[in-house]
Amino acid sequence: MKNSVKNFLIYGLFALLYLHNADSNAQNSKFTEKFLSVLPTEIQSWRLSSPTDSYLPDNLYDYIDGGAELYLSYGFRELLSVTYEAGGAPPIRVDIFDMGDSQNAFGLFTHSRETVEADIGQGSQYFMGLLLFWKDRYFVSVLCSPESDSSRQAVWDLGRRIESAIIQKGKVPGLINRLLPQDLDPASIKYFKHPVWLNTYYFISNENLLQIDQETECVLARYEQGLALIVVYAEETKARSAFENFTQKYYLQADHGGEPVQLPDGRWGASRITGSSVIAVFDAREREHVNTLIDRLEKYFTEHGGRHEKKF
Amino acid sequence: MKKNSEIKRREFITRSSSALLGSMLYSSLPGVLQAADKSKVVLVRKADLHSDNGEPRPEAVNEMIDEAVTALVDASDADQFWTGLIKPEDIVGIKTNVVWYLPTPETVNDALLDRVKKTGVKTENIALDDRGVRGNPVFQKATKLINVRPLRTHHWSGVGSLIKNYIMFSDHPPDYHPDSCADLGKLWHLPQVKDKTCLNLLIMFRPLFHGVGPHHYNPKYTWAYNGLLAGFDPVAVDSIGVEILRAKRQDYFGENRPINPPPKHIAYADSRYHLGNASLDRVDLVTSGWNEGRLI
Repeated sequence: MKNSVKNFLIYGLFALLYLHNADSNAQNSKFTEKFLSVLPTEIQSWRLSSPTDSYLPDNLYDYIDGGAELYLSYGFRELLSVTYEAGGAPPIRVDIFDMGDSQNAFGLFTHSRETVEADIGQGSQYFMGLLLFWKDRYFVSVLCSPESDSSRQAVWDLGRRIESAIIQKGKVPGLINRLLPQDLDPASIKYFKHPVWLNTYYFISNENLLQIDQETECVLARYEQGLALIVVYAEETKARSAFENFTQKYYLQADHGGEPVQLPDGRWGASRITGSSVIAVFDAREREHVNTLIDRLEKYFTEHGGRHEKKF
Repeated sequence: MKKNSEIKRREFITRSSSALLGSMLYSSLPGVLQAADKSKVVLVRKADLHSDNGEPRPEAVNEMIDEAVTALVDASDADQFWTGLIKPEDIVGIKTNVVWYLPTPETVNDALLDRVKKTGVKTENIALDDRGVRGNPVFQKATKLINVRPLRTHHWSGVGSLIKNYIMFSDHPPDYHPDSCADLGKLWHLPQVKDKTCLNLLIMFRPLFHGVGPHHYNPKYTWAYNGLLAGFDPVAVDSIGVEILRAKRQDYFGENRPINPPPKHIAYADSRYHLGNASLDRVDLVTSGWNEGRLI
């Protein structure tokens, strides 16, 4: 009797594992099929090489090694990677990333963005042979370098075909809409959930002084008066702890009272806490600029959502 | 007790045919004397490095390598440097880099293979490899390593540096990813690597100063710097390379935009792993050749 119960449990466990894997594989193949169905086997003189590759979070390192960390920091789910070959011409590499949700896809896109364009998808950028765009939960890269007239056409053609397979549009993170629009350089907006990207425009620290984690939303943006940072925490207690840690270690004083502080590089900065969010300004040339900008940032942020109620 | 690397370097000096050369070499090698010593780094640039098709000309590459190593030890010529550095009984691995879009140029690989062969090392005792170094019989038995790669910014470690070039000696590279690759210097203490590197060459022909997309590459963010950095101290050479990238980014972006993530692994290679001098005030930079746009 005991053996039959034991066998039942063992077989039951195997059955559950089988069903789980079958479900995962079905989802994976659905993702790849979705895009393979719109990718041609030939485009101009380039031919699709086989096999195509698919990567998950645990093996993305096999494809882009250290670069995988960037994608993992934005919630990467799956990658479809295909290559088109054409004799002596440079290959065309197509990489389609499923980032889980549109906020992550948008954030990843902002990581490379230099200008605000949307020739394809919900935001795009073309750099000498490299087309990047995002739409819904997907971030797409099509690269052929060095570029030629024919490769440029092929890259855009492939991009449009991929876009056609993405029916829905995704939502931009709500935090972006709470950024003061006046004097803002929209192309400078960076949205992220990992502390390493804090130093994108201005070196703040090698340490995670603001205690940013995957439950924290951050936005960096350039204004005429300085660099703005807004960090939204899941809980007010976390925001308070992070703010105290930051002010103590960054400004070397536990409470700067929200007043501007001049740093050793001569630039001015200030930070405030409002509910579960921290608002900071860095890299300002003048003390008055900090005061003006942080007041306006806080006012706009508060008026456009109050406390950030989003569940992460 | 002396470190193995010191003994090898002393052996290099004492076996040198010229006592005078030996004394000059001695004073040039970092880590041999007091810890406070400066590390010598040589920067050679050539205005006409690239041919019309944009590729580096082999003869120009040969000249740059010869000029760099000669200046590194104040030798009379490059042959004297190579025969002092490598003995016929050595087993030599040249750790190159094959990364997509910005590999070590073939002209550089060819030049190094040629120079090592000329020292009398048997052909079967010379290998050039990147991804396969752990399983390569020559690298497994190597007595000397030459470390060569182009400088580029990198998604996660800040820069693809000489320190980072030894990542392929790890059996599990992701182990080195935490804290944006802060501890890459630890690689240099792996048994297959420790105390074997006799020369570091950082290729600055067309460095990448900013990266975009999953392959972190676009020619828009490269420029014809036409330079080659050489040194015995990988940390010092990397530090000079990073300083040039920083200056280029300042020039391009019009602001002091930091390399991000910060390439902290270079500083930690000094402070935590004692591989060399990261601080520029402990680097003795010698420059020669094309001066325009040197940035340092």
